[in-house]
This record gives sequence, C-alpha cells and structure tokens, in this order.
Amino acid sequence: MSSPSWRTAQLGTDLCDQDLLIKQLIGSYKVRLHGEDCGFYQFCEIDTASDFCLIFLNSPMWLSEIKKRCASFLSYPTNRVYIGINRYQIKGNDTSYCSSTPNVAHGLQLLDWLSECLKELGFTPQQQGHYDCDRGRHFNFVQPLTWIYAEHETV
Amino acid sequence: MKQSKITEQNKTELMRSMYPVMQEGRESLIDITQETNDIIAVDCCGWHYSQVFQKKIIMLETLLNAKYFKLGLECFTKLIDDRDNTLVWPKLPNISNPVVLLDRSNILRYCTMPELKSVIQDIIACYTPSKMIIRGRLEFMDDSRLGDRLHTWFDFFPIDNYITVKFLYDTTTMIYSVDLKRLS
Repeated sequence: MSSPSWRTAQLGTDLCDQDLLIKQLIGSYKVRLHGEDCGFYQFCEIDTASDFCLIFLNSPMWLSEIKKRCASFLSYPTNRVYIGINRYQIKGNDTSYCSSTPNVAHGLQLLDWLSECLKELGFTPQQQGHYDCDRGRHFNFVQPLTWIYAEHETV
Repeated sequence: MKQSKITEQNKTELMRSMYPVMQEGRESLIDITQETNDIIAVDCCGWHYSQVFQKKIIMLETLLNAKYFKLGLECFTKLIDDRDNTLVWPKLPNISNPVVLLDRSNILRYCTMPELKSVIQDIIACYTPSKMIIRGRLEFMDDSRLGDRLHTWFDFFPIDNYITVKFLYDTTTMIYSVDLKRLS
C-alpha cells in the first residue's frame, strides 16, 4: 500500500488556514500553478493559459534561484501572482542583496526582498504575511507560510 | 494557525516524516560502533540505533511524542518532559561520562542559535557527557536566510569545558554536524 501524500497525512480532506486564504484571493479566477504543490490543485480550477499565477516554493534553494524561477514563471502574461515560500527551505543568500536586518530571523526581510523583485518585474505588492512564530514545532504545514500577493501595474 | 492533529490514521506517516532516522540503515546513521561509554540517544529513535548497532542505549524521548505517537515502553528509557514549552531532563543517577547523541532530534528543530546552545548547555549540566555528537538539518535552523548563515554559528562556540573536535556545515546536503569533547 502506498503512503498517503503529505497533505492527506496532515489534513485528510480538510483545508488548512493558508489554503483558505489562497482560495479567497483566487475567487472565481482560474489559475496557473507552478512550483512544489502539495495537492492544492484539487481545490482550484487550473488553466495553463490563466493570467493568475500561483507559485509554491517549497524545496531547498538559494535566493538567486527563487528570483530566477519567479522571473521565469512570470514571463508568461500574468496579471495576478501569489507566491508562497517555505522560508526554512531557503539555503541562504547568494545574491548581492543586503538586508537592512541581516541577522534577524523572520519572514519580513524575505518579503522586503521579494517585493523588490516583483517591482522589478512590473508588479505591485498588495498583501503579504508570514507565520514565523508558529515555527511548526511538530509539522510543516502543507502550504509555505511566507507569502505575498501582487498585481501587475497594468491591472 | 491551526496545527495538524495526530490521529491513528496519520501517526505512522507523521512520525516517519519527523524522524527519518527510524527508516535508515547503518550507512546513514551516525557510526557509534567505536563508542565504549554509555550512549544516551536524545529524541532520535534510540530504539532504532540500538537495533541497528546491537548496543544497549539509554533512550530519551519526549513526553509529548510518547503520548501523541503512543510509543511503547521498549522505545524509551526515560522521558524528557516537554510540556509547557520547556525541557525538563530526567535524572540518570547511575550514568557517568556518557556519550550524548542527537541525530536530527526534533527538540532542535526551529531553534535559533541561542536556543540551540542553551539546549546543549542544559544537557551538559545534567549529564556531564564525555562527548556530544550532534547532527541536524540546516533547513530547520531558525536563522536569517539573508545574511551569511555560517556567521550565526560563531555564537554557538565556545561551549565551556568542551572542545570542538568536528564541525561540518554543508549547504549541499543541508547537514550540520558538531562533535564536542569534554576537557580532561
């Protein structure tokens, strides 16, 4: 018998709080999904031509890779983007970007950096959040918990 | 933020995910064949180490894990009381100069460097080990990802009365490893 997925092991058929937040942002839009999805595709309408892009980054990667991947995913026509990052999966900063608070461990500095990257790509951040204080003592949640939602400046 | 519930249906899967140690063979575990002193395995499936290396091991597991995962009596020697977000270490009166082993122990997950150091110092204060072998995953260090992460380790050293005999920081395998030896 094969093992249940990480989502099923943790949630069964329930949605976690972050799932609900993403669903609220999506509304009635169809979405284009990129990155490491842990089964959320079942709960939204997928369309590879959609201009609403969901990006889940939940595997070990350097900061430069995050930037590269986001730029690549957003090179398709995109008006709205949601990016969720598992901060703990970030290997480190291999870019020349200097955080104003380089020694503080929380998601805000990551969100500052991400906002800059998105602005360079023509997006205006609208909402963001992080749940670092939760620290997943026992489990990681199925959704990355540092997140940002942005809209293209033409929207 | 809602925590996942541990149920009869998911407990095995969650435990495997939290403790990859329990599915690993000799080649992936820390080699303890040469250790002659008593070994205390802290929150790292000591029962599995005991089976694989055919050694008697003092197995310390956390009270909440024992409760939630319904660990059998064969899985632990004593329990670390981790209720109330603090760790209360059990007394081991007949053990002297042990080797303490922490292999990807969950009590170290999401610790900041001061917290990690504090746990290690508490263990030292309780058991005065002759040696400590610590291995963990860099993913679970609660440090800034936007500075040079190696720098946070500068706060870990020195540990009073101990010398560092091994320090490994590998961003490819995402493993850190620290061995400490008590000064004689």
